[in-house]
Amino acid sequence: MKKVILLILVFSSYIILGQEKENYSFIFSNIYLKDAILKIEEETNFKFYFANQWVNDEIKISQSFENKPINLILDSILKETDLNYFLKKDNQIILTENTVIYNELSSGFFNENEKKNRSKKQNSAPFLSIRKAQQKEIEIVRVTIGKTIIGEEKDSYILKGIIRNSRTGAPLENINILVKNKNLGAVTNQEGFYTLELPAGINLIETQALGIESIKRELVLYNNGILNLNLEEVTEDLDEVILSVSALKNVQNASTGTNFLESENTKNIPLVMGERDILKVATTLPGISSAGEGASGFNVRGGKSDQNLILLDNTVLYNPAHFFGIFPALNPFAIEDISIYKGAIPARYGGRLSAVFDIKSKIPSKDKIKGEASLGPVTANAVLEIPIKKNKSGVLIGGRGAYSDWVLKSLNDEKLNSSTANFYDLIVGYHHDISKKNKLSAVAYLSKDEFSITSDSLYGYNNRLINLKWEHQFNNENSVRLKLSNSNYKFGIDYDGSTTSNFRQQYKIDEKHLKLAFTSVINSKNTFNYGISSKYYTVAPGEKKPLKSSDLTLPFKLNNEYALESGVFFSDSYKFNEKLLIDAGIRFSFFNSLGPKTEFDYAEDQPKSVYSVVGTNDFGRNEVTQTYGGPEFRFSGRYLITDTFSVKLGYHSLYQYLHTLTNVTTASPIDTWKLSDRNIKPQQSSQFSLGVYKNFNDNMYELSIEGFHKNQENLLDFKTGASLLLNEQIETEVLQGKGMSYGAELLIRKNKGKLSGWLGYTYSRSFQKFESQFREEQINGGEFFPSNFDKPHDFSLVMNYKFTQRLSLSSNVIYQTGRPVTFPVGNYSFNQSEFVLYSDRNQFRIPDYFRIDLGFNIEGSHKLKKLAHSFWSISVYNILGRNNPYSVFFVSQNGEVKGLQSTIFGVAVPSISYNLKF
Amino acid sequence: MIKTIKFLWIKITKSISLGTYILLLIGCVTPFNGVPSDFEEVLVVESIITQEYKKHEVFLSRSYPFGGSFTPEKNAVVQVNDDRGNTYTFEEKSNGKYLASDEFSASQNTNYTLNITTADGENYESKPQSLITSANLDRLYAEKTYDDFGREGIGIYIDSYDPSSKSKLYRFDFEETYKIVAPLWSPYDAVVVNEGRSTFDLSVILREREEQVCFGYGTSSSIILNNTLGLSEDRLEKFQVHFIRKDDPKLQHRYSILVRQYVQSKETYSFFETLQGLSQGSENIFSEDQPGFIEGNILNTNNSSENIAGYFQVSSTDEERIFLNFNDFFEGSELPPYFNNCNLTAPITDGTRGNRPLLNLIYQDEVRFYQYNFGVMEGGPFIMVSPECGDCTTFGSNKKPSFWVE
Repeated sequence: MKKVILLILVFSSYIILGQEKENYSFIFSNIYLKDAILKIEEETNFKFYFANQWVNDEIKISQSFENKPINLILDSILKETDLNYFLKKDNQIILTENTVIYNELSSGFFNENEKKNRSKKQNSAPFLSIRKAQQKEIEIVRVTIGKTIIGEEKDSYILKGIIRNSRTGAPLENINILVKNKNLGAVTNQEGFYTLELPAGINLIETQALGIESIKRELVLYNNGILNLNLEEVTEDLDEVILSVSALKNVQNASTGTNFLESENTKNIPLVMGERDILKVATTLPGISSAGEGASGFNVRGGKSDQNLILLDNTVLYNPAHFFGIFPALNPFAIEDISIYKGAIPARYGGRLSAVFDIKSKIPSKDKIKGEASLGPVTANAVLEIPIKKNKSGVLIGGRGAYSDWVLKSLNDEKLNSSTANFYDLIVGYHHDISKKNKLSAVAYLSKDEFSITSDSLYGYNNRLINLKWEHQFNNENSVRLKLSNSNYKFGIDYDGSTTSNFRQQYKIDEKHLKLAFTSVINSKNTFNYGISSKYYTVAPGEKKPLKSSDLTLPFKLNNEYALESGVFFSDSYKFNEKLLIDAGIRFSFFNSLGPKTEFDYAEDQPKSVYSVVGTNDFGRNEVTQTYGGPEFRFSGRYLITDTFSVKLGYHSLYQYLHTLTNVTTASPIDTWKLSDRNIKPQQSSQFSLGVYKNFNDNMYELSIEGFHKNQENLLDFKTGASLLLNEQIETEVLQGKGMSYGAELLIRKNKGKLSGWLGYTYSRSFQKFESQFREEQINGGEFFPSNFDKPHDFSLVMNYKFTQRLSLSSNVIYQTGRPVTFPVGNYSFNQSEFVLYSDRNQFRIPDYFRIDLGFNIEGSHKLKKLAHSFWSISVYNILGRNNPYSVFFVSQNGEVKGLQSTIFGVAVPSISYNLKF
Repeated sequence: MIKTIKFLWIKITKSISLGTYILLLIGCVTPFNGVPSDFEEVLVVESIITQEYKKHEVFLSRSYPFGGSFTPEKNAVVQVNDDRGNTYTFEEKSNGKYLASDEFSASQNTNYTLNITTADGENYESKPQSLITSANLDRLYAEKTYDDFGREGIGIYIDSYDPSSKSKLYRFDFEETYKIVAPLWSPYDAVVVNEGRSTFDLSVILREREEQVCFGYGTSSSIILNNTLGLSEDRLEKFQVHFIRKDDPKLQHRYSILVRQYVQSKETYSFFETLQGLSQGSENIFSEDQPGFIEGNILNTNNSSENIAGYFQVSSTDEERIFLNFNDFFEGSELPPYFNNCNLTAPITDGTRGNRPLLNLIYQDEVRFYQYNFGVMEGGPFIMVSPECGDCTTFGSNKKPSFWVE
């Protein structure tokens, strides 16, 4: 069959060439183009096809031709117009309009390798469908790209361009460009840049993005060209609850296990006390869970909560939560979006094993003042975007604070008066477009928490982030980003409950980070990402000092720890053909633990303990005490089976040089971070993932199923009863072992229509294993046991139903298997006391978790001239009032062991919040 | 329009305070109903072999369910072997106590292994244990001091020094003995001679046993550890092993404490350290200390994954005893109260047979005679007191310990 077509093609092209040799004579004196064309039609066998409006110009023609070939005549009379022509067999001449960008091509567009002569028939073939398209979709704007240059025709051309936000002029990332009825599509990069290889002729393209208008263009492609688009934000609509920006992205991009959430679109999802929390919403996605309502941090695909790289504008945010993970530390109005990588982590990221949460703050408007404010039961929040220099620079200022403490204090109740819970966060962002090619931005962020849960101790912690970013575009293909950042996290505990032994205890970690990242678009098939990154850590692991002069507490300080973590990365995104896309990368990761430091040597034939020290090594300032590192491999590949159905494979391996020290079962803000050193090895992991992705009903429904298997090495755990705070030889309390997790994740999303939302279900298991030749360094006899966050069944249903443009109802349904816990299994007497006998680690489970939330959202009116746009959200968290235990513990009361459960939100929590946007 | 806004504002303020209350409700603790029905029965071993020449003891028991009681392990064959070929056999006494058949003492440079064969045929063996060095408790003394909560009392301190710097890891326990004097004691007691339908016969006789002065006995209930790691000398100075509050009834009369010091191996010390750590609960509702089974040094020889609680220790020990009197510390202060509040009653004798209050109380041993009621108070013929106040044997033993000196 193929051969037959080919023969016809060759034959027909011969005919066309033959026709060109016939010559004609015409005299046009001051007549309209249309009349000239009609005259040619009249006097020859040629038949023209064109749209009337193209030739309605006032242009008049005064030319004469004597015995000239038809193509020369047409060249001449169409010279001043935007019209192109094509000669077809059977003497048909088709005129086409090329109105927009014409020959605006940079030299890089002409890829020498692709300059092969092709059959003209293929170029002309699409014309047959022009009329069809015209009749069917009149509303679509047609764009013609390039003009055919005879002799340089190809069967496909390269289209590229930049998509910008029409309001701010900021490049739009992650915009999906789809080609209808073809297996093609592209996604814009960080610079809003895309390239797309399209077959010559007619292509119907559509942009898709959430919160951004979707536009369609009918493209007629005669050559390589540029199509820049400015898209408008769609904010006045009541958004559907949709988590991913682009309809086909999940099918078309290469990586497995990626999700994308926009802050604005999470506003309808009911959350506790009306606090919008993009990270909480993330936990409703398959594969991401938290240990419970009061646990800071997340567990991604069976990983520990310290294995997530949480970045705010590329700067590590050590604690992304206020008040024990109940409220987000990030201002939802100042956050643009978040990209979550849990499957194939790109090579540009490194340092944490499980996942990357890449959070971007909003780019402030550069042309008009905008703002957003809200009032909820716990916090008040305001964000302002102020242009500094029109279309050049702008600043974003956001502040958010809890006024619960103020209310607490004003209440006339002694018990309430003595409790405190207070937090705030501030963000300032400055963006400056120095020129088209140079951009500068700076973001500073600060968060602070203070609370007391027992009357005698006051806890406090704060994050402080600063980052500077310079982006330079060498040309359309090459760009560089230079990032400088500093992140600082510290906490303190003030104990003030005794006469002479009060104290203040403090911890601090600080990192300074420099990153240089390049992107080079080699051609439409091949893009390189490469760069270097280096971090310098300073950790003040612990300090204890008397609180008052009367205290007898001995001042004590552990020596600071220093280290350097570096990475060199390179990745290549290569499109073998329309079906196969591969993104492969490598990252060399290095870690140097630096002095001054004293490292201990331990006897090998004994369990590591303070009693088995056989030697000490002292290192001087900046002397390397230990080096770790190696290559990390990153791979993701996508194969399109149809244009809405793909299979993807992912693999990554990673190193992590930081560990949290915690001997409590769930993450808490006073977990300290410990750098790897001679006695504590870095954690390592590798993960395989495989997924199938299918979109239905014109992308109304998305379905994905992913499976993963992950192995981890050198995970940290602790000997039972370890004391971690202010311990100089922490390695003696530490166990390092293996982790293994696997699972399958199902995500079904409905993106359009009155009812939207998603259903996520994960079946996964997570195990750990600590084996050793010494029984005291084993857990559960050195066998695999379920980790603290092993929750086999995890089900989330997030729905939004739009009654009208202004009213919608949302709900969450969450079900999870209870997490494993260690229960007492009896008493025994020993040493003249009664002790509780515990089971092996994690042999029991707390009851399953089940919760339903409801939210009702009222959008203000949509009058165009309205000064501000308002939004009411009324919600009830845990509407069933179910008492979901967060932890279960046992106390001995009057010689009897009693089981108690603590619940964070054991009642239905109603709230109402008001948002204002202008 | 204004009305609507006002209405909404009320709603907001209402929800603010509601939210605040919820902030306080965060972390409510309720009883957990699903107490695990799974009960794990494990063997519990406790034994210390010291350098003292005596009949050493091994205690064997089983763990018991919540609300259950101490379950001794019966009919086990217990022996201690050393690596010089000696075997010391133990005989079962009562309540899970196995006593060495012969006196022996642990000696330096010898490894001792505890071997147990339970009645169900399982065989257990400890890891070899040995003496570290000899212990030396230099001084035991008491001083007036305050506790962490600012309460006045007596601190019991030790000084200890090992010139060879080998001891380093210490555990302490103590036994306290204190004199109890029943405050409302009388040499007499009331007895019912006979009780008829309409008559009864009460008699006052001399008490047959010592019930005025007794000796109370207690032991340390927590794990007391200390070490001299990181110190230039193997010296403990003024280490507080115990604190007795000034208002503790034990101090009312004479008080004596025997403190024993054990020099421990690294493994033994860290076992006790872990046990100590886990028995202290965590205060923070948001986080729970990771509990777990604490590994000892005894293994089932056929099944190494069986959990066995407890520890077989071989330690050198030294002990000291001191006596102290309240007045030596708090001259002129009011004596601490007695263990109980004491009330005088005069139960009536009216009623039919079997319903006469005084007689019933005497039958049930719920009162002691104090004195005749010659119009002192309303009621029956005798003034009676509770046994706690009139009979010291409720709190201690009426047998004077052999070490007791006045």
